Amino acid sequence: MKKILIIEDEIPILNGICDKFTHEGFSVSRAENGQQGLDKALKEHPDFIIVDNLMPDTDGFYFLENIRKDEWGKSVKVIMWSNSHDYNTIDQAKKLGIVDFMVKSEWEYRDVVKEVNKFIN
Amino acid sequence: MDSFIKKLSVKTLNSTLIFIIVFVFLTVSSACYYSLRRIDTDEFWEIHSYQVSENINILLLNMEDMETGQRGYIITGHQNFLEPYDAGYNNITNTFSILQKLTIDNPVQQNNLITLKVLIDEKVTELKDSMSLRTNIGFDAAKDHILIGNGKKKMDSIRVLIAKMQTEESRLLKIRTEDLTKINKITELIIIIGSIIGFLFYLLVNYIINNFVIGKIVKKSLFDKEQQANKELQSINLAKDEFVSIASHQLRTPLTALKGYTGMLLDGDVGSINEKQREYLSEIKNANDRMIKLITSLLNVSRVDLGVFTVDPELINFEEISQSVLKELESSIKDKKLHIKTNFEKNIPLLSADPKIVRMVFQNLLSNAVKYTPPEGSISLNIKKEYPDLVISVKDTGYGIPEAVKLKIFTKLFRSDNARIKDPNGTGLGLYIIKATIEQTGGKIWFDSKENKGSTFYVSIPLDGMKKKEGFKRLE
Repeated sequence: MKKILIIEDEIPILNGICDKFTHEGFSVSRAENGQQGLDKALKEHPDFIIVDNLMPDTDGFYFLENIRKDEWGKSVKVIMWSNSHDYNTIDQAKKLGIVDFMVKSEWEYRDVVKEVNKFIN
Repeated sequence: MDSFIKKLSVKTLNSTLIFIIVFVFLTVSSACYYSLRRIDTDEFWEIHSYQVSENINILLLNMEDMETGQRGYIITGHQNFLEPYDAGYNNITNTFSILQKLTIDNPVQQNNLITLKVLIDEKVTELKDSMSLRTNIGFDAAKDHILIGNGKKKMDSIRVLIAKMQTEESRLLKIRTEDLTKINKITELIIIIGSIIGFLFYLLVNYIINNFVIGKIVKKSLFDKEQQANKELQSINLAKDEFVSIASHQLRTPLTALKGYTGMLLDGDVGSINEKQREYLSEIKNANDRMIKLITSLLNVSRVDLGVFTVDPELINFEEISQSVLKELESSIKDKKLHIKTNFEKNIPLLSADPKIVRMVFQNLLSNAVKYTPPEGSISLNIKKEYPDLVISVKDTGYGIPEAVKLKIFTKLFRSDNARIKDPNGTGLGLYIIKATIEQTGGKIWFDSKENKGSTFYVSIPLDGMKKKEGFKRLE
């Protein structure tokens, strides 16, 4: 079973996307900000990570910058998904090694699962 | 000349003017100084000539005084008649010495003085001899001595030589006077020309200052003010854009949750749903998608209106982008059984354009054509070069645009009645955004349309590429 970590501060969205991945057969771990996500990622070593950008206290960039400092974290596949998607944000996230940037409001959850599967397989 | 001066900076212009002013001032001053020095010198020599001439005359007078005293003494035999003789004798040495000093620079006069000295000495000896005869022998002996005529001859020779010396001095005086007159005229000329140059230069400097320096200073001041105002405006626009961006982000968040859960319900993740439930959920999903699209469009409208959007051209293939957009619309095209024709002119070069904007143009024009063309209709996409532009046209056999609303078609939030009936989900913002964006990047958009016959939309983009535009955000 593939392990996925989803980092998202909006609880209704977090609940929904976690349920979707669970329904699709993933082992799902969840976090509500960048630091929580970092702790869980370094401890659990998931196969894939989805991280939001704008979150309270520690955001998606905090998570990305720090996960890349870890030997295992250097190569873990990460998708940033956010409703804030200006050019600079996408460019900066790509520099930190994300495999894709997804605009949350434009994707159905099932399509997010398809996208993740594409990268895992 | 004017254009050359305009190119100079205020600093360079200032330095150039100061250099020219100093140069003109120094030239005129030097010329005047030189002339005045020459006048001083010539005046000195003129006075010198008068002094020489005066002393020559004094010398002659001294000789004449001596001769007068000699004659008085010889005739009367009284010692008191010798006073003019003694006075002349005493002065002659001093006068001679003055003349020697005055003519030290003049070899001709110096030679004359040597000859004159000999003649004077001889004359003085002759005078002394005649007076000695009068004293020792008597009147007749002295008279006989005078009658021999040696004294007269000497005196005549002295007069001739003095006249010669006077002529020489007059010649020099004439030369010096002429020179002084000439220098005076040159000095006058220099002062007049200097004044004219100074006045003309004053006019030139005045003209340059009024037309260029002040103009540049005023221009720079206005430019600085404009820059400041632009900065403030940019700052305000950035703040407005930030507000709209945050607001749209906040609005999208609950809509994202709604979209996710509706999708999961429709996917049957929490159990099967009946047809009616599916219909209602689909309505919720469509309304939600429309809301998301509207928010994105409003965000773009805000960026277009504030002028804060970025245009970042890169070399792109228009054909590839249009094919990719057609692929995105594939399911709608199939559903409506539309016939799609594409006609791409051969050898269309890669063009420098912002890929996001070009994609938006194709998405907007093609999706409109698909939405507003009845089933089994035709849509043709053409891309060709029409110098100096690349022209994209999308032609459909759709519902067309009623004549009465043609002028409103590019206005914000406008939707024609026939379009609203056929597609209630449109925002009325797409064509407004496309037109504003295309026009701000050097292109044009226009259309031909006949109601119930179809429409053709044209977009032209300069073949030399879209204009780059610095901004804060890209369009979404």
